[in-house]
Amino acid sequence: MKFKAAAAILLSLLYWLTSSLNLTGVDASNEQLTPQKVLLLYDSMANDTSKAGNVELLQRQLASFGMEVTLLAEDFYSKGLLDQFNWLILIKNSAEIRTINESFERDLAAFEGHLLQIGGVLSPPLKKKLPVDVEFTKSKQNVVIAMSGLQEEVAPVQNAAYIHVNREAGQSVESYGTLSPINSDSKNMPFAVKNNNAAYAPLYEKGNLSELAMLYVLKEWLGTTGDGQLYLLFKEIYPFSDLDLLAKAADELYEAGIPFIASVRPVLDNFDYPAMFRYMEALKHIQSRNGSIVINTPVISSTTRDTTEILGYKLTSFINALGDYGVVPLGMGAELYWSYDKEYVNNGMAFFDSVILFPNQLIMHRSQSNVSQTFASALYSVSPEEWNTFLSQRKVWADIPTDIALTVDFPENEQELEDMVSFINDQWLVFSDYKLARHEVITERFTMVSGNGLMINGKGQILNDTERIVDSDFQYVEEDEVSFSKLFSIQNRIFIFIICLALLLFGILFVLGYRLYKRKYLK
Amino acid sequence: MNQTGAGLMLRRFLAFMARYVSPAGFAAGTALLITFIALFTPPYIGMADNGDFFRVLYSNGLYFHLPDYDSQYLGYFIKEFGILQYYNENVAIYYSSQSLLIQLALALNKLFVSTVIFDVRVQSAILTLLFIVAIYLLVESLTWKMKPLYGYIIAVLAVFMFADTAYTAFFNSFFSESIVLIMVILTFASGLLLYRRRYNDYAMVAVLAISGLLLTTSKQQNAPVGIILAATCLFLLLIRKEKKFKVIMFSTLSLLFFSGIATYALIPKEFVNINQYHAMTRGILLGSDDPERALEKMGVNKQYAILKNSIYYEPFTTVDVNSHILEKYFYSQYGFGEILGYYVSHPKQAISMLDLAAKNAFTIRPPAMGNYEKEEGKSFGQQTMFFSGYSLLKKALAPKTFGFIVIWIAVVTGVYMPSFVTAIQRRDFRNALRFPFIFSMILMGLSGIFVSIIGAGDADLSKHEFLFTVTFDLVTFVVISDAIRRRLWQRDSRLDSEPE
Repeated sequence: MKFKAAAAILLSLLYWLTSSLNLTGVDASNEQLTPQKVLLLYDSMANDTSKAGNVELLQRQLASFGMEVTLLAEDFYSKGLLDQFNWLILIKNSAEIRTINESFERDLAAFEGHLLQIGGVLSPPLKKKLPVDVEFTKSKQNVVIAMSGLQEEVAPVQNAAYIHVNREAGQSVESYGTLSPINSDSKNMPFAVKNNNAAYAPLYEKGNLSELAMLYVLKEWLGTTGDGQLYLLFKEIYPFSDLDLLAKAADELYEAGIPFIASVRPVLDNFDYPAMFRYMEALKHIQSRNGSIVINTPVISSTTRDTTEILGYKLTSFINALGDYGVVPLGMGAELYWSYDKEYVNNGMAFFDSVILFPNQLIMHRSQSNVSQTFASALYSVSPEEWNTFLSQRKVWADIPTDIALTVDFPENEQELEDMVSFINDQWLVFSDYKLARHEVITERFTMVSGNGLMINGKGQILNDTERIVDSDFQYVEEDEVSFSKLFSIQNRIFIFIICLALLLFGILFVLGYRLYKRKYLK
Repeated sequence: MNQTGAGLMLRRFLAFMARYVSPAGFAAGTALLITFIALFTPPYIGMADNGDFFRVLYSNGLYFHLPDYDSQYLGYFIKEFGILQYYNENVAIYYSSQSLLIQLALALNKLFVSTVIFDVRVQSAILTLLFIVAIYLLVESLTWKMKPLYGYIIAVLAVFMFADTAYTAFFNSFFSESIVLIMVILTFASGLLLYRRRYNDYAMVAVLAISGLLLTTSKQQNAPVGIILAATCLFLLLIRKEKKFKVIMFSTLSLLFFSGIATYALIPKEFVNINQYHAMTRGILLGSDDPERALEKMGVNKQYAILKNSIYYEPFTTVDVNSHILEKYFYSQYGFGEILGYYVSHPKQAISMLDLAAKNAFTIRPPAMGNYEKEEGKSFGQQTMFFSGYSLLKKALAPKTFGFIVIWIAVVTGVYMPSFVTAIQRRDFRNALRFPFIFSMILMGLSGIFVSIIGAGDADLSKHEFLFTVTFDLVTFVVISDAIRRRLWQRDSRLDSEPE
C-alpha cells in the first residue's frame, strides 16, 4: 500500500513537472486573437457524386485553423458582400461552366484579397495571378495523389483536372503535392499551386488523401506556422457503457504510454444516483491514466422551440457535478452543425473554449446560422478507417498540418479492445496529451483549466487513482411527508373497532331475525 | 301556463318532431351541424402536430411544405400539406388502416382540390360522414321503438358527449384517434343493433367485421382489440342456426383474431424502440424502489438506472433511442412478457402505475396541442372551448383513481348481469348479446390502459389511453340511456329485440 501511495505521489509530481514545461507545441490561449473571417462560396453540394460532403469537410478543416467561416451558395450572393472579407474560398463542384450570379462575378473580378479555388475552371482573378493552365480530361481516370511523403491511388475521377505550370511565367508559383493519372509517363502535376495570396486545387474529396492534402494547402494559404498535434479520441462512452472495460482500456493505454481523450456522454438528470457516481468514478480513473475528458453534446431528439436555456442549465449541472467530484472536462465533442447554430453555440458551447468537431450525422438545427463560431482549439476529427491506407505508410509523422483527433468508437468487449490497442501500436503514431495544452471550461461555479496541470478554481487536482466502491443503496422514491400520523393511526383503530362491533351486531340481529322468521313461517 | 299545458305542448312538439325526424336522425343532424361549424368554418379547429405526423405523412406520399413547419409543432393546427410529385421511398414505414383513409382522401383531393397541395379537410369530410353514420346507428340502437321524449333526451346526450370538439378536432389531423373513435362507435352500435335485431343481421355483421378490422389495424396498441372482438363474436355464432351464418361469423371471428396478431407483428421498429424505452424508464424504473435490482433481474446493466424517469421526447437526452448501445444491451433484454411478469410480481408498483394511468384516463383532449391555425392570431398551443362542455366537465369531475374505474366496472357488470344470466338460462342467445358487447368495450378500454403502461410506461398517457376514454364514454352513455328507457337490470330483456 505504501509503495502504491508513493508511486501515486511520484506520478503526480512527474505530471506536474512535465505540465509546467509545456511540452506541447499548441497553446490554445495564444491563438485567442480576433478570428480571421473567410467567405466560403460553393456552386453545388454535389450530392450523389464522389465530391459529396466536401463543403462540410472544408468547414471543419477551416474551423481547425481557427477561421470564422461564412457559408453561402453562389446563387444567394448579394452585391458588395465580398467587401467584408479578406479571405475567399470558391468550391466549384459542378462540371458545368456557367455564370450563376452576375453581381458575384463582378465583385470577384475586383477582389484583391486571399483567394483559394477548389475545382472548376480558373476564375478570372486567379487567371491573372496564377500563371498556370488547367487541363480537364473527358473520361474517368484513376489518379495518384501524393503529399508530404504519403501516396494514394484514388478510384476513377470524373473530369479529372491537371495543373500545368507555365515554365516562363511560373517561377514564383509554389506547388504542393502531386496529382497524376495512373500509368502515365507524363511528369507529375501539382496537387495544388499558390502564388502569393492566390491558390488553386483541382481535386477535393472526402475519405481519400486529397482530404489530408487540402489541410497542407490550407495551412500554407492561411500562413499558419507551427505543426499540429495528433490526438487519440474515444467516443460513444455512455454512463451505461461497460465501465470495467473503460477502466481496463485506460490502464492498457497508460501502460503503452498512449495518452487519449474520452468524449463522454453527458448525464442530464439524476446526478445523485449511484450510477452517476460510478460513472464519475470511471471518468476519474481515466483522468488518472493520462486520459482527458471532453463532454460530448447531448442527443437532440426534437427541435421544438420552447426549450430556450434548458440546454445551458442541463449542461451546467453536469459540468458542476463533474467539478464537485474532481473530474475536469476540458472541452466539447460536437457535430459540426452545432457551431453553425446560435442556440447551441450560446447555450451549449459557451462554457468551452476548446472543441472537437465531428462530421455531421443527423442535422437538428434550432437557430441555424451560416456563420460559424470559432474556438481557441477545434480539433479536426478523422476516422482511422478512412485514413488507414496512407497513415500506415509513415513511421514518423512530424509535419502534421493541424490539430487532428483520430476518432474511434469505444470498444464493446475485450477482444475489440485488444484489437484496437494493437492497431494503435502498429501505426507508429505519436499521440499528444490533450491536457498539456491550455483548455478552459467556465461555469458560474467553476473555472476548470488545463495546461499547468488540471486546475479547478485555481486549485490543482491530484490525479489519485484510488477507486471508491459506490454503494447501490439509495432512496430512489421519496416517501411522502406524513402529517398527523399518530392521530390517523388512533382514528384507524377506532374505526376498526366500530366496524367489528357493527359486524357483530349485524350477525346477532341476523341470527335473531332468522329464528323469528323460522318461528313465524316454517312451523 | 300551468303544468298540464306545458306537458301538452311538449307532447305535441315531440309528436311533430317524431313525424319528421327520428331521435337517431336528430342526433346525426345536430352532430353534423356542430362538427361542420367546428371543422369547416373559420376559425378552423384541428390538432397541432406533436411530431407523430412525419411517419404517416411521408409513407402516404405527403410532406411538410411550409418552411416554418418546425416552429409550429405542438402550437398550431396546419391544414395544408404538400403532395410528393416524385418517387416516394418511404412507402413501407407505416402499417395502419389510417393509410387507407388518407389514400382515399388524397385521391379525392387530387380529383377535386389540387394535385400539389393536400387539404386535410378533405380527409376530415370523409371522417365526418362516417362519424354521422356511426352516431345515427348508435342512437338508433338505443332509441328504436321508444317513447319520443326518452329518445330525444338520449339523442341530445349523444350529441353532448360525442360531438364534443375534443373528439372531432382529431378529424382535422393525422392522428389515428379519429379512426379509433368512429370505428369503436360503429363496432359497438352494430353489436347493439344485432342484439335488438333492428336491421338485417348479415348487414350488421358486415359493419361489425369491417369496423372491427379497421379499429384493430388503426393503431399498434389496438392489437388486443381484435382478439377481444373475436372472443365476443363467439356469442354471435349462437344467435342464428343457419350454416351460412355460422360460416360467415366464424370467418369474421378468425379475421379479427388474426388481424390482432398481424397488427402486433407488423409494428415498425422505431415505434417499438420509443415505446420500449418508455416502458422501462417511465414504467418499471419510474416507480421502483430499487431500479438497479429491477434491471439486474432482467439481465440489464444496472447503470441503466440513470435513465429512470427520462423521456425520449425531451429536447436533449443522453442517448439516442435508436442507438446501437440501447439496441444491443438494453432493448434486447426485455419485452412485453418480461414487463408483464415484472408487474405481476410487483403488484404494489403495478397498482401505483394504474393509479397514475387513471389520472389521465378521463382527459379526452391531449394537453399542450393547439387547435387553431397560426393565422388566427391565437397564442401558441391555445385550445378551443367551442362545444367542449362534456370534455371539460369530465376532466374536472371524474374521480381520477383506478379504484373508481374498478367500481365503475363492478356497477356496469352488476347492472347488466341479471338479464344476461336469465337470457343464457333461457338459451335465448340474442338477448344475451348486450352484456358481452358492453363487457368487450370495458375490456378494450382496459387493454388500452394496460398496453399503455406495459408498452410505454406513463409516457403520453392521455393520448395512449384514448381507447379507454372512448369506451368509457360509450358504456357510460349506454348505461344512462338504458336507465332512461328503463332497460337496465330487467331480467326479461326480450322486450328489447324483435322476435325471431
